[in-house]
Amino acid sequence: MSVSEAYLTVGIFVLVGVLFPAVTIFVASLLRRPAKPEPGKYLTYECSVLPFTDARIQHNVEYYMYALLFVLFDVETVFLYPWAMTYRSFGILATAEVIVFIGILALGLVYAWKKGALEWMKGWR
Amino acid sequence: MLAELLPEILLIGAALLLVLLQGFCGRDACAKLSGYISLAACGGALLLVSLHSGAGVERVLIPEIIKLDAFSLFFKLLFLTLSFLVILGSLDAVKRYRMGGEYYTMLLFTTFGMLIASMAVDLAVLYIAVELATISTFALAAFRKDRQGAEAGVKYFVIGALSSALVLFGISLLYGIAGSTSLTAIAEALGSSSGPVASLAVVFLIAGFGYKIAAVPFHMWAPDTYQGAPSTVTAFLAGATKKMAFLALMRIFIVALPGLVESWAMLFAVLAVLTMTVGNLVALVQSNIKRMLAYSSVAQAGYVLVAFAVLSSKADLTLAAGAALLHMFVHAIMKGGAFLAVAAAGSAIAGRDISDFAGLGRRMPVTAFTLSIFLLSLAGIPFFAGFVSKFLILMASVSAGGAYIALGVLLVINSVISLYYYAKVIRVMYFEGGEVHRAEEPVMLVAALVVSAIIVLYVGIFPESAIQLAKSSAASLFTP
Amino acid sequence: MLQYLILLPLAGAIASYFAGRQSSSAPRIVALAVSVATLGIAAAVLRAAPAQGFMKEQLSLSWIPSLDIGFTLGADALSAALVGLTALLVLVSVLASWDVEHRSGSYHAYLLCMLAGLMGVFTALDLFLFFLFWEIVLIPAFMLVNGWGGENRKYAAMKLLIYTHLGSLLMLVGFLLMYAQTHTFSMLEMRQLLGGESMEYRTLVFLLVFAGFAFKIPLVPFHSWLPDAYSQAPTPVTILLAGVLSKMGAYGLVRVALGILPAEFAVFAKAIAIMALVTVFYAAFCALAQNEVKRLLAFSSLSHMGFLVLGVASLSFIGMKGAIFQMVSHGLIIALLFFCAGMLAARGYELRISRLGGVLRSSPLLGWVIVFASMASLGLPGLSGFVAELSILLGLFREYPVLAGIAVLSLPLTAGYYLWFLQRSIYGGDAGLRRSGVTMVEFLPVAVLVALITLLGVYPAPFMELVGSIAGQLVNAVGGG
Repeated sequence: MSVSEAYLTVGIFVLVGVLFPAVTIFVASLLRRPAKPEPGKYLTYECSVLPFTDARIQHNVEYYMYALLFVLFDVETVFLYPWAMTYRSFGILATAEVIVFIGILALGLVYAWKKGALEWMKGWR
Repeated sequence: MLAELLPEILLIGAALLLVLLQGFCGRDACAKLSGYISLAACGGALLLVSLHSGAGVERVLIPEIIKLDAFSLFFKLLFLTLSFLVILGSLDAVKRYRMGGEYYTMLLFTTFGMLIASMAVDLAVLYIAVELATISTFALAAFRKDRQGAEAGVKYFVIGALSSALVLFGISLLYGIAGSTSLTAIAEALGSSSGPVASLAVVFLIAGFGYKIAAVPFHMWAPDTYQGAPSTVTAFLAGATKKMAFLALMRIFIVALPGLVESWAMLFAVLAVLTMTVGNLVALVQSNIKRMLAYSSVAQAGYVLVAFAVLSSKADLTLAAGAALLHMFVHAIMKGGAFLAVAAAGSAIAGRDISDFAGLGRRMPVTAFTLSIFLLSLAGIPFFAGFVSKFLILMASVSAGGAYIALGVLLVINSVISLYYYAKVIRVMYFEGGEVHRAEEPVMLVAALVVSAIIVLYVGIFPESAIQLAKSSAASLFTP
Repeated sequence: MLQYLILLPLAGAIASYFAGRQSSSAPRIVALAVSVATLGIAAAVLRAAPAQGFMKEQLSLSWIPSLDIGFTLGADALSAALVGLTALLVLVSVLASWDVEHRSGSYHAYLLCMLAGLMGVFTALDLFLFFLFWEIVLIPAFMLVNGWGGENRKYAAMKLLIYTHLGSLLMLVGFLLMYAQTHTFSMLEMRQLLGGESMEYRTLVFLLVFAGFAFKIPLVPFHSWLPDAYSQAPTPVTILLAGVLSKMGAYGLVRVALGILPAEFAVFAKAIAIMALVTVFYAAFCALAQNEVKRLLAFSSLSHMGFLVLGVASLSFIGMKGAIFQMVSHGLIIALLFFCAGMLAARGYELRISRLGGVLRSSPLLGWVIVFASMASLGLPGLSGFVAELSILLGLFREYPVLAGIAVLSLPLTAGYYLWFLQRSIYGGDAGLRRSGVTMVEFLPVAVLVALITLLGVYPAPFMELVGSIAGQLVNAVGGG
């Protein structure tokens, strides 16, 4: 790839980068507000049920802890899968490393468990 | 290879042990035990590193990725010394603020990340190590669970994420040019050519790390974070974490981008002038001692940047780089010490305004005396370590001649300005305030203070070995 | 031997601090013992001072070899004279602070630290070391003014600190520029290596170095810290500020600016002389307008320091000898004057000229000493001030007759403000205080100072001989005579 081609790529990238938000903003402006405004049309659409509280309510912190732990072990799988596929060719060293990796994560799980992050709605009982 | 990595293994082992420990014992007992374990781990690692540094070092542990040289040993020494002091001091503070054992875990993780960063010669590894250290400090900065603490944490987190993104972008540009993240490979690929992309990478890297070292105009987060974080954590942030960004800058720019030295040294010169001048002028009017020390920290970063700027001259480059290294080390100890002294004063004084320190000289004599030593050292008064390192920077810039002399003169004028606000604190401590009662001084914090003060005085009075060490460490950067 | 001049006061400082924890009167005993011992050593140094040569090395320890910095001390007639003066005036100062009770441990510790630093400045053979001691003197001075000074002490102390610190750091940049070309900090080697013409940035170097000394002496327009610091400092400290610390600047001017950079000094000699002359007149006029005794003495001191610099800038043999003579003579006289001011204050006098009066009647001895000191200061023949100023004027006449002519005009001005001061405060009026005698602690230093001033005035030959060689060397380097 020559230099000018490389710059062409960058140029196209920049062009798209500039155009995308411009187009998005334009399209959004078409949908922006009802053509004939009336109070009902301003209400939040929730499957035809009228909203009955403010949207900004406090969620229980346990949702976040749960989500965090979930993401952690989800990502662990992502790392384990490639190792599992090449397990034979990588040999004992890779296995040891993976065991250390899993060990560290397990340690985290033990910590979370002991701290009560896995007990659902602990404060409500 | 494992033998050379023993300090790191010790630290991470202790950190993981602490994670496990937190689950199995009560909060206060656990915090205490964790403190001692981490102190032992840090002390052990420090011992191992200092044993190492004597031998002819320079060992490639993983080719193109991790290298143990005099430069990394110097920084390991710096990081571990400061961690040790902070942990020692925290044994009191943690009890007082009822912070859990997680505090120490985070400190150990950060230290571990910094140690890895000191050895990394590959951009990706360097980035990951820096991130590991930084992310742990996000939690540390927010340890005080009040408004100010939250502000400190959030600001630090947002700015930290932003700066990491900038750094990452700079790294990706370099990778785009060289096709490799290894520093030496980048240096070979770039040669002395300076295309627009390389310049852009330089700008992004400087901006990104500029946030981390709190250089003006990237400094706005520092005073709020330093003020809001617990003082022991601030000691760690100002003393150690900031130096990690300097370390990364030196490694990247000197090893990977020597061909572009003209352009980046120019940028550093501009940053240096802005940073010291703005830092000092704003520090003049601060009434809160932590904010004052934060701005002083900004200004001191400017002095180091002066040494960076001199790297483009024809003069003795190891002197300039060595001066920068020595100033970082000295600044770590004296600024860390100053914040620890603020933490110690906190056991008897509620406020953090400079006027609250009135009469501290009689109330807590050891704390006040050591704080005076740190302040005089920060101001660059002879026979204190801060003078030696500032003198070296001045020497490097003046002997480079030409416009560098002007940089030196600016440094000197800034140093004079700074003396005003340091002297003000000493005056308040010793000559103001009516009758006060002796207050009990926290033992562990005082121990940390005394150790730091001894280091400051020793380096100030017998600087030869420190200068030798700094210069030889700097020299290892220039030999491929 | 020279190292004990520094180590002894330092040890004394520590001892005095801890003595202060036991009782408030113990530190002054420690300080007295230490300063007497230091005076003894200083006397030995003075006796052993080599008549020939520019700084003879006496102690050389390797200190920071990687930067070619050594802990080297040395002395010649010039430093020995100033070492002696310093030791004497610190002793006077310790006696003057005999009744300091408030935190006396710290007070005397700072005083002795200052002594150590001053001794270091006058004996350092290494420019780096010289700078270190130069700077370190500032910290105890700042502390003393801050802790034991007058009403406006905070402002005065900070001004003293910042101004002189600025000067000394500029000086340091100059030193480093010199180092960049010679790769040594040794004064002796620099003197050999720095040939005038080949030096880079020679004007810049000289101006930077000169700025440091001009701030310290001080010369107008670098003087604005002086009246505040002198008048707000506790009187014993003012004795040191005016008597010795100003001599640091003069010493540096002679030792470094003239001794190491003679060619550059010759270029600027006339400008420096004019600056000094401005100082002489400006300070004399200011002195006329003062109502406070200590401020009057401050401006008088400034005026005399201007005279001293005139002597140096004349670059003539006799003028140089006169300048060195003036260093000692002015130190003695101004110390006596400030000591008397302290005695007045101790007797309950308000130190405002308009409120003073009848001192001769209520404490006759003190009154006569003040008269004597004022006469010495205004240059009465037979006293040391006369010898110094006469030599300076003679030297100046040879080189710059016009400037000398103008300088002579300042003498009646000086006489004017002193006589007017005496008339208003010592003779006339009556402050209505009881008669009081003079204690032994007060009498001793007064007697010694009076005797020395008279001795130097009547029989200056031995001293002139002592400093003759060094003065000759200094002016020969610039081709003066």
